[in-house]
Amino acid sequence: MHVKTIRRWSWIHKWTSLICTAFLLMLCVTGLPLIFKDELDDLLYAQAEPAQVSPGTPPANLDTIVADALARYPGEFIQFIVWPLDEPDIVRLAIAKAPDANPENNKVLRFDLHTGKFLDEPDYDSRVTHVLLELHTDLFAGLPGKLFLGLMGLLFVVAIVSGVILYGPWMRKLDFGTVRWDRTRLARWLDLHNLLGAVTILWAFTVGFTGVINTWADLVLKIWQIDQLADMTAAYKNATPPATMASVQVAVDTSRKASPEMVPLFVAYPASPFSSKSHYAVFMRGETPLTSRLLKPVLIDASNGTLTDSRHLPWYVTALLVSQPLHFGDYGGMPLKIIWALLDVLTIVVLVTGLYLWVKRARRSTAPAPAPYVPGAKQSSTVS
Amino acid sequence: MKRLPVGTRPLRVIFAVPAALGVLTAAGLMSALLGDDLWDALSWLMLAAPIAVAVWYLCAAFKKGPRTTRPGELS
Repeated sequence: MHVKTIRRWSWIHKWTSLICTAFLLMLCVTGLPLIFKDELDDLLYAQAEPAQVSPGTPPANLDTIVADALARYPGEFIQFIVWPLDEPDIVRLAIAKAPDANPENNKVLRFDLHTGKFLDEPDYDSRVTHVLLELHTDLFAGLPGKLFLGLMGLLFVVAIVSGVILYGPWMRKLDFGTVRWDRTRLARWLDLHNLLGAVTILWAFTVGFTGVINTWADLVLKIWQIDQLADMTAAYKNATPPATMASVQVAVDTSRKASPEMVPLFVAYPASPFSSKSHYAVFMRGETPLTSRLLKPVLIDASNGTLTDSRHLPWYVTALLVSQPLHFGDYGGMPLKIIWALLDVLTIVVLVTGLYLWVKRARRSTAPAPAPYVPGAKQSSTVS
Repeated sequence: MKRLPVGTRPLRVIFAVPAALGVLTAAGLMSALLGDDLWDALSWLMLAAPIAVAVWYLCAAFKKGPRTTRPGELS
């Protein structure tokens, strides 16, 4: 590689890393406990347990559950009914002051899926895991914070790519995995940075990039509303919201019949962010780790319970949904979570050693920059 | 690995191990997405490979002995 090219990539690697390092360290440190969010929540917060039932017990009627929930909050509205992937015997109802209110302020009620009994109303917002999650996703600054972290993630991705390009010239003189423990601290930390960077690269790239995609979730949802949802409900464009609501149980049954190979993940009520103002949107999912992310909304006319339309989500929503498990590491049991945590720790070491290398070199900025080996170029002995 | 003369390692040698680990990582990430049980176990094995390699080389470096101070070195 030409000296000039290497210099250019060094410059890119230095600056993209420097700008994002502080935020990446925050993301790696807050992300570490978040890998085990479910376990921590179970450990720290007691929840009412659903009744033990024999396999094959049918679920309770949703209309009864909905009536129970609304009786607890008269004058308020259901926004979502959710069958959580991690709580197969539970159904959650999200309640808001208005049908189109911001879901962030929802109250969440847990019901026993089989008996239909009210279990509890956990205060998710006050949980330490939730506070960590907010810091991790948007620095407590809403959409702007989220997009800012997405930008930092993009810089991280560029830092990774430039790191790969520089790895070639750096390693000309060394065998893979050499850590010169007996040499200067700078050489040692550079070797550590190179070794750990080289082994974690694809994981860091994947988690970094899927994290960036996740920051676009709000925008992706908006585009879907304007694009596919508007198209599916075009005939209802000027319809008034239904005066009386058809049975949500019927809506779910109809959706199951329309997609017999799928199961419902959640129902979005009319006017909520995931539906039109005239429809129940029943989001169906598959049953493998991958197909459980490939959703298919079934739109049910909320005034009479009949099927309006059903289509698979467009590619950009699917890309978002598939990128989520790849960021969270929650799709392969506890061993995968532990591996995720170890790789996260290695990434922290790469970040810290990288920062150290910059500090050391910046202090010696009067000395010639430690140039990597370039065939034909004069050797500098600063590094090794 | 056969030792090459200093400074003459071609890119395919330099990137052999990182590329292999990259392929394993990618396969491991996909595997747990595609199915459960066996697929999960495969995924754990493949994703543990980079960690194992890092630990292996770190241990090798430790074994070679702790740092010895030399006159005139930068630290």
